[in-house]
Amino acid sequence: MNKRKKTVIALIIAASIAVCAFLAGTAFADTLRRGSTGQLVRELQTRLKRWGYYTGAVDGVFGAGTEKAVRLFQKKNGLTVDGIVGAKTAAALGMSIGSSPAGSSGAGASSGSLSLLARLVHGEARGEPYKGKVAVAAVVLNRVKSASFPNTVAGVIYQSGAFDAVSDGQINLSPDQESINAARDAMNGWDPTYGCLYYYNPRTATSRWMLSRPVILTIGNHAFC
Amino acid sequence: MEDENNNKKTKRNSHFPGMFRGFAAPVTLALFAVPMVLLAGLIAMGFWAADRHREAEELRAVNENVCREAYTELAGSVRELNAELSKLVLSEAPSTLALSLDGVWRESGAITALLGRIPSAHAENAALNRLIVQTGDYCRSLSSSVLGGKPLTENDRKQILSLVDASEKICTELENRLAGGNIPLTALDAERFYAEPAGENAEYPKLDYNGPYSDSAENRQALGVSGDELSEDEVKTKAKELVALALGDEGAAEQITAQSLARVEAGYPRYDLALVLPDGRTADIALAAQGGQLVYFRLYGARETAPAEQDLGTLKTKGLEFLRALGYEHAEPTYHSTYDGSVVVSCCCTQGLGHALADGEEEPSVIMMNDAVRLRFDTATGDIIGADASKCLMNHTERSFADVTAAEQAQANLSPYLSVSSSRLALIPMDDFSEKLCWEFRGSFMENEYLVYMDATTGEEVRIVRIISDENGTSEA
Repeated sequence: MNKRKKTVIALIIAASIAVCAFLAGTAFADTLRRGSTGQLVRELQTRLKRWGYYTGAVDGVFGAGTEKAVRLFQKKNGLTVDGIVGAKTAAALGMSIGSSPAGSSGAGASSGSLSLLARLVHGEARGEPYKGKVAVAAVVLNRVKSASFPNTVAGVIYQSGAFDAVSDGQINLSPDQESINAARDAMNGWDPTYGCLYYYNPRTATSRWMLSRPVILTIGNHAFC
Repeated sequence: MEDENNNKKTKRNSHFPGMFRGFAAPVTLALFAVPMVLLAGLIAMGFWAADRHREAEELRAVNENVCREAYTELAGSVRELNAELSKLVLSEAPSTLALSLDGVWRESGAITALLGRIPSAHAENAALNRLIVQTGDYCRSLSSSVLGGKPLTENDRKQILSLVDASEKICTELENRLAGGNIPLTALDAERFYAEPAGENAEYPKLDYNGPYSDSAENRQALGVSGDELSEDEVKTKAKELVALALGDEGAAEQITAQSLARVEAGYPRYDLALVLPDGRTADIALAAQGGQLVYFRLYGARETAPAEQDLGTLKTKGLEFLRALGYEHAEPTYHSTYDGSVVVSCCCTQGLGHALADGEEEPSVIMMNDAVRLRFDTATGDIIGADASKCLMNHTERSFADVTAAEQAQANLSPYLSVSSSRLALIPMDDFSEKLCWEFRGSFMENEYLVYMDATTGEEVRIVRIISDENGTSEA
């Protein structure tokens, strides 16, 4: 076999491995199991530890200890004992692990408005403190209650030029659990902005109209007015 | 031999045009092939670009048509609004008044939706949006009055006349633009859409009324905020004490540290604080600057402890104790919802009616729906990890109640389809920010639960609420 043929075969094998890995990742995206890693595993371990099922380190690695704790949790809660965190176990844990496409209802996001609000929060305030996420959701709801804005959540969010996350498409990303919780807290009445209708990032904002408004308070990177 | 080689070269070069003669064969091939490939690529790119351009044009046409339609419908709806408003000026009969008021409210909703569909910036149409929403809101409140037997006042007629005038000017402007073709050509160019001459400072009539979208709604005073102005040190101490109280460990207050403190001037002045607990958990808390009442607090992170069964009833009892410590002596839990490892319970303050309904009976209690505090519990530990008293602070005050009819009298006016299970007195919020004392009847109809509120003075039906119950809790619709 000449060198060129070997190179071609190696490339085909590498591409096949990459495709298989991608497909495997897609197939298991909705479950947490032994070998899984990351923030969701960390959240899982935190919850299991807090309820006394897990005694190991919260390191974001789904190892034997985590699997044992999941099995114990499943047994105690009448779930199928397989050591895998699927939709039912996640729901019992109060977690959302689904990679459902934006717009479909995930765990805990039952209404359309909540889902849309959570996606806006995720797109606009990812990386902000929790209070800052609730504040962004509260601004949307304050606008709904204001005569100067559309009177629906969708109307406010999709108002022309109102939010960068809508303009650049980040609103279509699936929200994480924290964004869903923040949207729900705001819908439950928590308004850390005390009625503010606008916010902007002072480091990036260029609108003279926006910058001219008096700032009421600052949370994280956002000035609220 | 040399001749033989020359012949071979000549034969090889003879396959290429004359301009390539003299080059070696591979070089000649490259000089011929590269421009050909580039040319083919260029042609392919041209086709691709033409295809993209066609797609962009189609998309642009779709956008333009959507905007033209919205703009045309906007002009039509403003004309309809204007017509309904002018009928109101002439109408005297309650039935026609109610129909026209309903028509204005309906057109107001349609115009607001259409304004959201034209891509003008918020600053350009905020004042117009405000006028339209308040017009609908105002007419809805008038509709309630008219149906309640109250005629329009002279001030109402004057306000409606000013709305007729304003709406006439707006629709004339819109129609002129439509007639002149001066309407948007692209959805991407906001400048070409209808823009108010003075932007958000446009001069429109100011409506004097009470409703959810009225100016008075935005300038309400907090009735529950009272007391002396606190110093920053007093605020810090109070905040720590409140968090320690919520956790049921009042001795822990001294170990809590304040990470930040900021005074916020919004409505009534408040202090926002960030606290750090001895175990590293953090909390956000806000207190009224005057009196130091709790506005909200939220504790983050979980206490590491063995899980324990947390009965909802136990949590509610714990919550009511916490409310008593906050100064809300009498309260009752209403709705609750469970999510993300926590349960949120809404509690409303109660107050005695001030007199018994009959001789020898106890003074009944009134639940005040506006004086609501939401408490959040960690379902694993039972700790109070959040509270929101902002709504209660806006409304909480001592009320005095007039005489009320007996529950049986009000119940006689209920629909026979409602199967009543319980009743109590409730003070419910109205759209104009007033409150109405009602008999609240809980009952069922076709496997659903309802709350029907009947005016406790007149016995008339005021509101019907459907209770939504599922495994996550209860709420109303």
